[in-house]
Amino acid sequence: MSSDTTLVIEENKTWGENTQIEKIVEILAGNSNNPTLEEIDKMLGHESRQE
Amino acid sequence: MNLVKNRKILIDTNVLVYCSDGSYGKEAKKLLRMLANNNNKLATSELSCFELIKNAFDRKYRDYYLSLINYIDNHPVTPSTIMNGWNIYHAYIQESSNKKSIGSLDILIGSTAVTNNALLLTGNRKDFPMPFWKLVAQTHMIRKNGEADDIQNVYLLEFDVATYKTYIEAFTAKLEKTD
Repeated sequence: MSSDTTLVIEENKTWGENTQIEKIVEILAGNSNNPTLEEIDKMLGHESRQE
Repeated sequence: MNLVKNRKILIDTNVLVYCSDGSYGKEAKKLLRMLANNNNKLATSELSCFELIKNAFDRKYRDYYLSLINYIDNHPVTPSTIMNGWNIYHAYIQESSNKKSIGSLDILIGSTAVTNNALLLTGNRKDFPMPFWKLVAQTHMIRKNGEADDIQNVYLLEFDVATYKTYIEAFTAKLEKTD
């Protein structure tokens, strides 16, 4: 395989150190104005939930 | 999913939005909690942050997503991500069933997982096609929809470098011919 097409892996980067799952869950739970899944699908450019 | 421990996991945009759904939200949040409790490190791509916020209908939605992404480790698109994305895209093209287009953002989100040696948690298998993305674990969420139930699968995927090498060889040969 050419060096051009060898995948680069950056092993030493920090990952997930700043993620606060409990805070995310708290924010998600506290939002009463959440979009519907159908609205979300439109946002993400997906045509149908049945696909 | 419960068997996956001590891994780096990239959360795709759709999993974050399931968390905010009234019906799927409880199970989606439970899934993230379980993965975190199993000592997995969770992060997302900055591209997912943009996908979340780009179509916010008003300031309320925008601020909601902004507050959310402040608490998730966000990984940028680096030169390595772009180079890997270029290769992954061309490997997809070499594999005939993937000639239909896969969105650039999804290629770069996948490339972010590859570049960081992370698994990818997604609800959309089509964006991360076989045979390149192999299934590590799968679960599903259910919501009531009238008398029927809607089922949403969630997949934990890993990029298969051996398969990638098989398909990228043809592209490498083309590159060498044009040198």
